[in-house]
Amino acid sequence: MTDLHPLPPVRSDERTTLEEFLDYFRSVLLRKADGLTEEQARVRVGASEIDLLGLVRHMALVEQWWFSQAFAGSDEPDLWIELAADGTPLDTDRDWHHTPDDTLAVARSALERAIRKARAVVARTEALEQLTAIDVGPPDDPDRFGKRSLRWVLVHMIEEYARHCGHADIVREAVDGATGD
Amino acid sequence: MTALAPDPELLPNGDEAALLHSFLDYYRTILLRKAEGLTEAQARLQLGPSELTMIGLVRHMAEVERGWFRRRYMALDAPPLYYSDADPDGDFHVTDADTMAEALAALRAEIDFARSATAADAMDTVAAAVPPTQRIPGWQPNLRWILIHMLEEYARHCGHADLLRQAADGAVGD
Repeated sequence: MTDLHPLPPVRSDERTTLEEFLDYFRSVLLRKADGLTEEQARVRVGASEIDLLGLVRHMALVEQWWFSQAFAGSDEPDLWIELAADGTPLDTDRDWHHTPDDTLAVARSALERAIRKARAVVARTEALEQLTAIDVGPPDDPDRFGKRSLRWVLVHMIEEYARHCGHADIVREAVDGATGD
Repeated sequence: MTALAPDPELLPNGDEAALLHSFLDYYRTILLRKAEGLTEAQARLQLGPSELTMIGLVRHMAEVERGWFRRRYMALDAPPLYYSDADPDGDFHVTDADTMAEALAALRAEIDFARSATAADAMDTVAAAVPPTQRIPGWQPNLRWILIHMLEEYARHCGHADLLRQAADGAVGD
């Protein structure tokens, strides 16, 4: 079982509070995916296409995007992507659209590796004001297209994980009744 | 319909306080929007074995706002709205007489209070009260911790709301 990362002490500085809340939710998501069969990892609830395998693959891609690609400027290829002969992606939602050959073990190790790389990027960044290496956001919207600070990226990642942990809560409870963090 | 709060992406380089208030307000409006326009029956729809409902989520977040900002941050005497010692999950236990309109009004009132109570404060400001039920001595979070906690609390419950609302009428997104 994945250890639950402790919440930050309640009167910490900004950086500690952000980093520790993020690590907390990283551990919650990994715990939601602990101990599942491949079949359980593909259970869906209601009208949504979200399943736990897709959530783990999605968060690996999100970690890679914000920390390795946007913040550190790496040109590594997107996780999970398959390209057509002309170099365009065959499916931009390949994280959610997994196949029977995709396994939870591979998804988990990709997420754990992406988290390690993300922590290293954050650790070597001195100021929360430091900006992403590249412009992000919709290119056709000049108000939203631009660089983001590390502060913004950390806050965004906390709410991104928390929202997807909300999805994981309902799906995991439907799989085997497990609830909580 | 509640207008979505300004997108936090519009303040990419905001300072700490501006960014945390902005993200939290954004998520407050997402939850309000997920809850609006539902019938009372849709507001009570459950998914799988989970007892969560949209009306329960709205009542729960009204209690969470009230507990954090009135009771803990401001140390005011503000008893719970829906739960009690006899029914600690009373916010999620809804009867036929309860309405979404009442729950939404309660949540909006708590949000208004929280915004005005915190808008001018430094992030290192410490909550005024130590709740008697909190067992850790000296457990008085600063405003930074409270706002980030509230953000993740809303975001997680918005994740629940995503699936409940999609099951109710197919609506997705923020």
